[in-house]
Amino acid sequence: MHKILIDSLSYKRKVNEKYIFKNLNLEIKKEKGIILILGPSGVGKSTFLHLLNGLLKADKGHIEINGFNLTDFNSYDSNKFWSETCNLMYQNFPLINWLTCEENIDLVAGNKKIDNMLEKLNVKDVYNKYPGDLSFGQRQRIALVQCFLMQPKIKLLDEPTSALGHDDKMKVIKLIKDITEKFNDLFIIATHDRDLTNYADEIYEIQNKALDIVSN
Amino acid sequence: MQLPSVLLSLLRNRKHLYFLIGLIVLVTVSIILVSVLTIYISQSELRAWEKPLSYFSIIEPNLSFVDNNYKNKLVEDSKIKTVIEFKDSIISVPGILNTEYRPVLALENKDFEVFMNEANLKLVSGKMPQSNTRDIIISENIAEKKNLEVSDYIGNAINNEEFLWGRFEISGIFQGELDVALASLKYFERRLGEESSLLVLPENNYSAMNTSLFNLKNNNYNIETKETLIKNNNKKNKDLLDLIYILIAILTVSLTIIVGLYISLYLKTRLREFALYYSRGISRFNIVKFVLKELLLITFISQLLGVLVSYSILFILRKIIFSELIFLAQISMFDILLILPLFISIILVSFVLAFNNLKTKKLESIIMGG
Repeated sequence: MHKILIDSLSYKRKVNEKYIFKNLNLEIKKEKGIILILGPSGVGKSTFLHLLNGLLKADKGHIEINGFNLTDFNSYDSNKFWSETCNLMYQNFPLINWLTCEENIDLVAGNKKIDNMLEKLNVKDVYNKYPGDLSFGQRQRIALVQCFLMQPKIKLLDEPTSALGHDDKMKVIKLIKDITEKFNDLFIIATHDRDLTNYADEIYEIQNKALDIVSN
Repeated sequence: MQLPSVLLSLLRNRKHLYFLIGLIVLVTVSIILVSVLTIYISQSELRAWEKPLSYFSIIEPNLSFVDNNYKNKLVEDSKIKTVIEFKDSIISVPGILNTEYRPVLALENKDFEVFMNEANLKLVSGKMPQSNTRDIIISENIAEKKNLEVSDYIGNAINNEEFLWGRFEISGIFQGELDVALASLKYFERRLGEESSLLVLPENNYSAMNTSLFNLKNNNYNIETKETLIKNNNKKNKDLLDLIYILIAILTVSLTIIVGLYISLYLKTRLREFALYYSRGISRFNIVKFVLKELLLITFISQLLGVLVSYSILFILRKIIFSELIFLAQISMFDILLILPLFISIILVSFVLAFNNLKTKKLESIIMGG
């Protein structure tokens, strides 16, 4: 069972000192599933994921994920947290450009058989190409495959379907759904795309510097 | 997540590394060649005398004559086989910068056979020098390099660039390991006076003989052995060596600064990649280790290439450009050691730059900045 606890979280942008989150509270106790964080661009979805990933430090309040106290950077080993507990797929889908897609994926997956996953995401043909030779959407799907294969059970995805057409988007979200069932992973997805809501187990929306539950 | 292979990384990022490798190769080659060539040029005396002095030693009187008492002591010593009176001069051989020469030993006629037997020299054409004549016999190698035959004439009376005085006729050519020429002592005495030095041949063991020589030493004589030759040569070349060290220090420091700047740029081009490793849970320490392994390998490969290129250049110089000359310059362990400070300073600079460029805050801001 994964436990995410956010208590009275406040965070303001360093550039303009404006609060993005004020007194945000959230408690998630879930073994697997898809949690959507909705909101328009610029509202703070990525910032929220960066806070959950321990990349940003809250100005006030407390964030705890599976026993890791993310508001006290000195209390935990961030490398261990990222490699074993919780990892984030960034909005720019970073891949190592001098490695082929296959080699990029091998870094996290070893020699796992992933033909099925590649076929479902329609990227089998580009598997041996370098990321620089891929379209934005193909690159996004390869980054997703890499993310799916990573060890942490809590996976944070930042706009995972932003570069995809409708069909590919549906394939991705269906695959995420399959993975949650098969491997007991918990996905927290920040998106502005309301087409994904049908597949979510819980939906939150960032409104008035806080998270409001939309459905569960 | 695991880090990719260092070798693969070097292979795939090679385009960014050509400049760095080229620069290190160039400076490594410069250091080695400067050292090899300077030392080679400064060792012409050593090349002329080192080999002969592994067959015999020389006693030179400080006064104008050798007293018989001292000579008798030498003759009676069980470690000494023969004591031969001789005079010497030098004969030029074609070498770089016209500094190459070989010894000319003037002996009494009765001593030619003894000396040639001891030094394994064998006359292959012509005849031995006649007493009190301008006859001279030379080694096959000297004959070949100077393009001389029996009955040819040599000496500065024929060619004013020749080191050997007067005019000599080549009466014979001999084969053997020693590159020397032999002439008549009587004829030398006519020109140079009667004072001679002594050439001492060992009974069995060269070093045992030298120990005896030093035990019998008195201040009226100088003893020249292979060891004293090397020692005096090193003493004479100390200033030259200091100059090489200064030159190499300047090259090392300059290159380290340029390499440091380039490594800094190189790391900046790959910061996003390192940030990605970091965000996937690889510790900063392991990323720095990965970067250092890469830089260590590049430096090592570049310096190895530099050594190989230096070997090739020397080979080309020896076999093609200076094939008509005597050019024996070779890379020694000393020359290889001179590139070690460069290796160490590049690694130290890489270490500092890797830690400085891969700060946690920097990596985190890159991840979030996209």
